[in-house]
Order: sequence, then C-alpha cells, then structure tokens
Amino acid sequence: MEHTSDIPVLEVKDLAISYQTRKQMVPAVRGVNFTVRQGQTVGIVGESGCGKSTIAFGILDFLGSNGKVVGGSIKFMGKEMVGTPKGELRKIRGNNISMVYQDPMQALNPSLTIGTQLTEVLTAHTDIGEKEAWDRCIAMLERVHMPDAANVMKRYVHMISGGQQQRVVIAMALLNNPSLLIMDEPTTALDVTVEAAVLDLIEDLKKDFNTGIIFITHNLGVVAKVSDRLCVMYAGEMVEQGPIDHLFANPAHPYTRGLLCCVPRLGDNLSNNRLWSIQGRVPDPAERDLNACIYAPRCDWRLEGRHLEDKSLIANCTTQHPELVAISEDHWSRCFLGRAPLKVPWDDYARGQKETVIQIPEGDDDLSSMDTLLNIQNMRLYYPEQNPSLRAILGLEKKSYVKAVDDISLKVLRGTTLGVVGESGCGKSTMVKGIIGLEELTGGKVDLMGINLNEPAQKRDLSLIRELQMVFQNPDSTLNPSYTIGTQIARPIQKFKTVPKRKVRQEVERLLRAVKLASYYYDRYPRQLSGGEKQRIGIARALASRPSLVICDEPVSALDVSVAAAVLNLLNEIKEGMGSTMIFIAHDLSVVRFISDFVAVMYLGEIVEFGPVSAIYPPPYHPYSEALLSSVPIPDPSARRQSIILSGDVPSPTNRPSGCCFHTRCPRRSVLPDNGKICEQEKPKFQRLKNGHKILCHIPADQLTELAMERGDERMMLSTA
Amino acid sequence: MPEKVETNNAKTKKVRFTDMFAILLSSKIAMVGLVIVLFWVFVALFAPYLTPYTPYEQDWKAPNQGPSAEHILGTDELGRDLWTRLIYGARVVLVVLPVSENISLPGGTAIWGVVVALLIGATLGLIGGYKGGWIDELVMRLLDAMMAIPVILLYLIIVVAIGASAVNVVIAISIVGVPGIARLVRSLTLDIKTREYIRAAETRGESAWFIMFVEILPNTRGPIIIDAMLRIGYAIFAMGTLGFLGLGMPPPSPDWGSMVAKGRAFILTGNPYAALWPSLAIASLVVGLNLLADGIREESMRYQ
Ligand SMILES: Nc1ncnc2c1ncn2[C@@H]1O[C@H](COP(=O)(O)OP(=O)(O)O)[C@@H](O)[C@H]1O
Ligand code: SF4
Ligand code: SF4
Ligand SMILES: [Mg+2]
Repeated sequence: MEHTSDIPVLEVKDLAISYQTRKQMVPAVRGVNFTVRQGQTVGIVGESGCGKSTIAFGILDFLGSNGKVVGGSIKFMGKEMVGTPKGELRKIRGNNISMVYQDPMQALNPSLTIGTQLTEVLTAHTDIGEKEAWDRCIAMLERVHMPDAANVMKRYVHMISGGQQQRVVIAMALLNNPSLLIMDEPTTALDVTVEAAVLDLIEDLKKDFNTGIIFITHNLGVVAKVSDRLCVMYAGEMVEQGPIDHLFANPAHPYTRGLLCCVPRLGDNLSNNRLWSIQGRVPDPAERDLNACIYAPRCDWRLEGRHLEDKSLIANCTTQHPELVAISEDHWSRCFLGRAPLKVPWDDYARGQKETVIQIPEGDDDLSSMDTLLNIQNMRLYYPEQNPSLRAILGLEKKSYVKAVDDISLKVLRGTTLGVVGESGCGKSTMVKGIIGLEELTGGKVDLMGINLNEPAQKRDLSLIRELQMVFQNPDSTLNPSYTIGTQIARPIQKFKTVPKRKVRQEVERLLRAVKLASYYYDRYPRQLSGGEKQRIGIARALASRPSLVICDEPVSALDVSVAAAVLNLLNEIKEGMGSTMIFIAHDLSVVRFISDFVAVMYLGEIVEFGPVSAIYPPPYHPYSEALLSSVPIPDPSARRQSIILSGDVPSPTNRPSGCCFHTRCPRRSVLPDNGKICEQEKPKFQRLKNGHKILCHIPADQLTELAMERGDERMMLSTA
Repeated sequence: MPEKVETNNAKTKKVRFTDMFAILLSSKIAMVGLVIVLFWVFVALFAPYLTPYTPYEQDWKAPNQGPSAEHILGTDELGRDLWTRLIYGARVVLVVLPVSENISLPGGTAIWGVVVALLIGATLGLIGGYKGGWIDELVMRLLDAMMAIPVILLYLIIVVAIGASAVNVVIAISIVGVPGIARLVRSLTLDIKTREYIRAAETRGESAWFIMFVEILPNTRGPIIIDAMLRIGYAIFAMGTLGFLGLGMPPPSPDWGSMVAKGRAFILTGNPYAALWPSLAIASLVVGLNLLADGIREESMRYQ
C-alpha cells in the first residue's frame, strides 16, 4: 500500500441521497457521517428500509436513473467524489472499490466457469497473461480458504454450494487489491455454520490486506463479530455511531437499545415468554417528518418515559430535528436525551413468565406417560433424482434417490412446541411436507391422535385436513396478491364451516384481533402490508380452521429482528392462550430456544439430537449441535467466541456417508480410537439420557460433556438457570 | 405489546384503479396509444350518429371521388361513402360481432377472437403448468405443432375450410392465438405455483381447479392484459389480410381488408383514397394498441 495511513480510505460527511418517484423527490438518506480507515471495518446496521444499501450504492455511484446524491461529500482517498463528472469518477474509483452482495448469484455468471470469471477480472484491465492470472486466482481462492481451489476454477457456479459461491465472490472482489470493500448483507443468505466461517474469513482478510471494509447487515450479532466501528441507521438517518465495544456497552440511542433488546439470547431465562419488540414500523421515505425526531412515533423513551427523571428532555422530540450529540469522545447519538439513557441498563425490562413449563415426570425417559398428539415412526421421504442421461431414461441405470428424510422417529406432545433446527437442505421442510401431506411418504408411519396420516393431502378427509395447518417462511409469497386479507382468511373458515355463514366476517375479525391487527385490515391487499403484518395474516389464516397442530416453517427467518420479536411473542401468546401444539422450524438456535419446549436437531435427513430445551442447551451436546450452537452470532463484541468451523460442505443426500452421517465433518471424532474409525463403519445408536434427551453419537455422553466444558463454554452453563 | 400501525384506512379497491390511471398518465407513449385506440372505439360505438349515410348506400352519380363536402373522405367505386364504410368497418372490428343476419353480439370480431383464444389458451397453459408431467408434455407438443404452421397459412387453411364469415374469422383468430397465450400462461403458472400461498391452498385440500382458476389465474392478469392488447393488434392486422385476400367478411359488409383490395385497382387511375383510408385505419389501430401495451409495460416495471 503506497498511501500513508493518515488519509482515511473513505470519508463521508452529511451525505444526503434522494430518489425521484412518480410524485416527488423523496429523501432516502440524510445526515450520514462516517470514516473508514485502512484495515478498519465499519458496520452499518438497521432494519430493512433504513437506507443501508442506498449508502453503498451512493458511494459506488450506482444509484440508478432516479437516485441522486443531493448533499454532503464523499471523499475517497482524500479526493472529493460528489460533483465529479462520471468519467473522471470512474478513473478515481477504478479498481479500488469492490462490492459483495447478499446473493452471490447476482455477481456470478452461471454460464461461465468460475476460472473464466475470476481471471477476467485480472486480464481485462491489466496486461497480466492468462497463465499468470490463472495462478493468481487459484492463490486467491486458497486465501479465502476454498477447499480444492484448482478444481473449483474449472467448475460452474451451480456446482458449488452457497457458502463457496460467496467465497468466490469475495475472492473476486479482492483480486484487484481494492482499498475499499463494501459488503451488503454478505452472510444473510447463508447458514449459521457457513456464516461463521465467512465472518472468520473477513476478520483474517482485514489483517492480511489492510483493506477498509464497510459491512452492512441487519444482524447485530454479526456486526459484533467483525466490526471496529458501528453506525446505526434508522429511516435514512445515522442515529448513533461509535467504536463497537463502547457502543455495545453503552448504547445511548433508544433505537439502538430497542434493536439490542429484540434479539433472543442463549443466556436468557428459559421461562421468559416475551421479547422486547419495537412497536410500529420504519416509515416510508415519503412519510417521514423532517422537522422532528424520525424515531419519535416508535420511541419508548418518549412515549412511556421509561426511567426518565427529567421529562423536559423529551419536550422537543416532535417539533425539532435532533442533531448528533457527543456521548463520549468518538461516540455520537442523535437524540435529545444525550447521555441520559446510559444511567439505565438497557436490558432491564419485563420478559414475561411462561404459564406452563412442561414437566416431565422423573424416570419417564421415553415420554410414554405424556399425551402424544403426533407420532412419527421411521418416516422416510425420498425424491427420485432427475437423471437426464439416455441410459437412465431407458431404465438401464439404477434409479438414485435424494434421501431428504431418512428414518425419523419423533413425538410431538399435546400443547408443546417442538423446535426443529439444522442447516438448509437437511430435510426440515421435507419432513413437514410429509406430515402435512404435500409429499407422499416413501416409508414409515405418521399418526395424529391415532389417525393415520400416510395419505397425501388431496386424499385426506376434510376433517383431518383442518387439524393440520401451516405458516410459511416468505412473507412476500405467503399471501395471494389478488385477494383482500379478509377473503383469504375467510376461505378456510368457509371451507371447513367452522362458523355459520353469516358469522364469517365476525370470525375473521376475531382472528385479526388474535394476531393484533385492526379490523380495517379486512379490506386491504397484501401489497399494502409490511412483512411482519403479512406474516401475522399467514398465522391468522393457519388458525382459521382451528387446527390441533400448527406447523411453522421458518416463519421469522425473513423478518427484521424487531419484527421477528413481535411475531415470536404473538406465537407464544397464541400457544398459551389457545393451547395450540406447534412444530417450529428455524435455522437459528437462539430463536428455537425461546419458543420451544422440545428441540430436534437435524442433519442430513436424520435427527441427531432430541430433548427438552432444558437439556439441549447445556452440555452434553451432539458434536453437530455443539457446532451449531457455537456459530450463533451473539450481539456482544466482548464475547468473540471461537466458533467451531465445520470443514467442508453438507454431503449430498443422494450418497449419504456410511456409518454416522456426520463423520465427514465431525470435529470430535478424533477423540475416539483410531481417529473415529468406528464412525465410518458403524451407525451409532441413540444414547438415552434423562427426560427424553437422546444423542446419536458413539462418544459417551459424559465425555461429550467434558469436551464441551474444556472449550470453556460458560454461557451455556448459565442457560440451565 | 399491541402493534398500533398507523396507516390510512381509505386505501381499498380504489387504489388499484387510480394506480392504473397514474401509470397511464405518467407514460406519454401509453397516452398516445390510448388516444388513438379511444378514437377508434368512439367512432365505432357512435358510427350511426357520425354519418348521414349507411355503409351500403350507393351514390351512382359520384363514384370514385376524392374528399368533398358531402363525402369527407371521398367515395368508392360504387359511390359509397368512405368515412361511413370506415367507421362501420371499425364497428365490426371493435364493437359488434355479426353472427348471422339478424343476430349480433356486442364486442368486435378481433376482441372476440382474442377473448376466445384467451379462454382456451389460459386453460391449456394452466393445466400444463400446474399439473406438469405427461399432461404438460402432451399440451406443449400439441401447441408446438400448431405453432409450426405459418400464421397466415393457418388462417388461410381455416377460413378456406370453413368459409368466410365473421364467426369463422373469430375461430381463425382464436386458433392462431391459443399457442402463444398458452405458453405465456404456462410460464407464469410455473412461477406462481412455487409460491407459498399455493402450498397453503394445497394444505387446505383445495381442488386442482380451484387452485388453477382462483389462486393462480388472477395473478397472471398483468402480463395477460398487455399480451391481449398486442394480440388484438395482430388480430386486426390478420383480419385486414384475410379481407384483402377475399376471405374476410362476406361482401358487401364494410371490411377494411376488402376495402383496400377493391380500392387498390384505382390507385393508379388517380383515386388512392379508397385504399388509403382503410390502410391507415389498420395501421393506426395496430400501432395505437402496441404503444399502449408498451407504455403500460415499461411504466409498471419502472417503479417496482
Ligand atoms: N421437490 C424436490 N425434488 C428433489 N429434491 C428435493 C425437493 N425438495 C427438496 N429436495 C432436496 O431435499 C433435501 C432437503 O430439503 P429441505 O427439506 O427443503 O431442507 P430444509 O428445509 O432443511 O432447508 C435437499 O437436498 C433438497 O435439495
Ligand atoms: S429525540 Fe426523543 S423521540 Fe427521538 S429518540 Fe430521542 S427521546 Fe426518542
Ligand atoms: S458418531 Fe462419530 S462422527 Fe458421528 S457425531 Fe459422534 S463422534 Fe462424530
Ligand atoms: Mg426449508
């Protein structure tokens, strides 16, 4: 690096960006100030719609035809970029700024090999030869810890996994040695285990390349892991900024505090049944009141006073726009309260108490004395693999199967919630599709209160269908855009005749109330709703037939933390109020912990660990559960725990590994004799522990406990409390 | 804590129409198209009030004349008023379908042709797309076979086989339109059927028909409306071609294509008008529909 280190890589001052819409210019971003130095990572957090990506595009000058920087300055390596003509700008920026997006497929071309795409970055602008470029690309892939780099160069994008694709994109971004790397939600689409590996990689790169990094995310746990400084964005404004340790220890802005409180934590008391959630939602750019604190409509300090002694501080919240005030040297907050909130610890609010904590009688380790609602025995669900070769079509080749679910046995007890976790592709969704009848079972038996569920949904009796309903993951596709909310909730009511015809509207309104929405939503269309509201409607629709089992397939994975918290609270309330039984799928162990009574950990179509929450979170763990747990990003920079990074990818469910299905990636098998030879040869049996807890592993439970304790996982111990 | 979300209550169905209108207003291209199309719809609707003549009235004293005070666009070789024939021609295209001598249906020949094609094409596309497997295979091969024949040739075969009449023109237009619409609907269905609201309907035990026609079909309407506009344009063009070849409406009905064909003989003898006006009419209506469709498509993509 030829630059002296006192010139910051990027200096953004009072940045304001507006978009031209059909009606008017709307300000998307204003009052943003931050500086990125060499080798420094600046995190930008905020809910979606807060203008995080707009800042990134503003820096790159990719705002599109209707976006424009309308004020402030962006200095890159000391040179002003705002107002500079496009051509010159391109020269300044040159190859010095790279960007990594959330979806790696956006940056990669599916019809070219990875090698071609990578080398092109080098050969296009420099006179490096093909051969040299190829070698340098391999070296770069190795630096981003890509296994088998030379081979990967020859493959196409679809032949590698999502985590590997993101590595390729990062390698590509680093190839021309940029001074600034902008990463927009680079790990949001990845599994926790893969995310942990990518975050580790980013930490290393910062040291090796001395690059300035802007890291955009909505996840406070993720920024805590990689950033040096943090900017909190709300509704287009920077509301708080400071060094990461300081900011997490002393969050001053009510919004930052709100965000921190929303996240369920592994250390929380198990009997908590409420999370903090920020009321309302981020206002659209056109609805923002520029002469007030933008956060005022949602601010709990203004609305409830909280622990405020001096009420005069909040007098101007709705009439004046607050400026950034210094909290300490280098830490700023855009709030009239200034330092006042610091006197109050940020996590001291009531978190509610579960009314019923599941009690398992002493000695009943098969849960046989409990009231079983759903009983799954040896469920198998295989998808025939599409094999396009001629031999296969002629039936000459042996048919191969994707063994999405392989021999699962589970019990769901009445009135409890079963959480199911595992990486994507491990068969969670397939399992529930089998239960609900969207896919036909290949083998095994499922019954609901003694009624057999092996028939697919079309052949089931209406009275059986209504007992099982589902809540889906994606708020944008869970509702039919052509019909009003009322029509869509009314449909199952009419179909299953839960109430007489003339009472349907009343019933819909009752359901809307149950999901905390006003009755005027009846006539709304889905596109007029926010993500959280759509998810609530999805829940109301599932409840409409008064089912005895509600299956939620990652209902909060696509939502912002604050919205997710509100939806989780709602689910908890419904569960307690109506005594519903639920299966709750998630890939986030902290969410599952909050909502579930029992947890099943899935890997490659099998259940590897099962037990009541109180037994799953403290050791002993199955080695896979342990890796998952250690990868959960926690919003606390002082706890930069070493995650257990799993090597390699999830094997293909078509060719399942012999013996223990986890043996190709297991970090613990080395404690067994002969480097765990037995794991490759022999399938482990469930070790049955107390209270129905069972672990599928050859290592004895006591030794697993010891191993976990050795790693010094104190936080996990706390969680038994 | 209860989520109190403040949003304006009045937003209901009205939004859709005002939105639609805003899209139209903000696109100049669409506005130009709309004005042209509305012009033709207007003259077709009010044809009897916009001219003192009937389209069959012959003026022996004034055949083959240029524009004059009595005949603003001139007359044809039989002395019939060209303006009158032109706007009654628009009637056949856009507002009435003469089924037999005394029965007429509202909605023009081109419109009926496209609507029938839509009904059949959408159904085939929905079934193929939603059911998949061998049913899809069968439907698609059938459509491929239909598409393999050149369009004009197909029109000719159909009309020659079943004779020239307004209803037969409708049949010809529909048969030609079906494969395109079916493919469009099928591709939209393939996308829509992966949405979670379809899973929700399936877990509710809805029948395949309900899912196809109630859950999927309404969501294909945007692209279908645009496609239909373009298709009405093609249909008008095809009607012109058929008429020109003597396979359109039976004479003496005022058919734009046959007007051009008749008038063609007189272009060189100094009266181009009999051929010019219907040609312009066909061209402007087709261009108008295209502009409208393009304008709406572009504008609705822009602010997403
Ligand atoms: N319709 C299908 N046809 C073939 N394979 C499928 C199908 N649906 C899912 N799979 C495969 O089954 C496995 C499990 O997928 P899924 O149940 O969606 O996992 P999860 O919900 O845990 O992410 C994956 O390997 C996936 O690719
Ligand atoms: S200025 Fe007032 S309304 Fe805004 S965040 Fe501070 S206390 Fe809340
Ligand atoms: S059986 Fe062996 S490979 Fe499987 S989890 Fe246990 S130690 Fe790891
Ligand atoms: Mg899934």
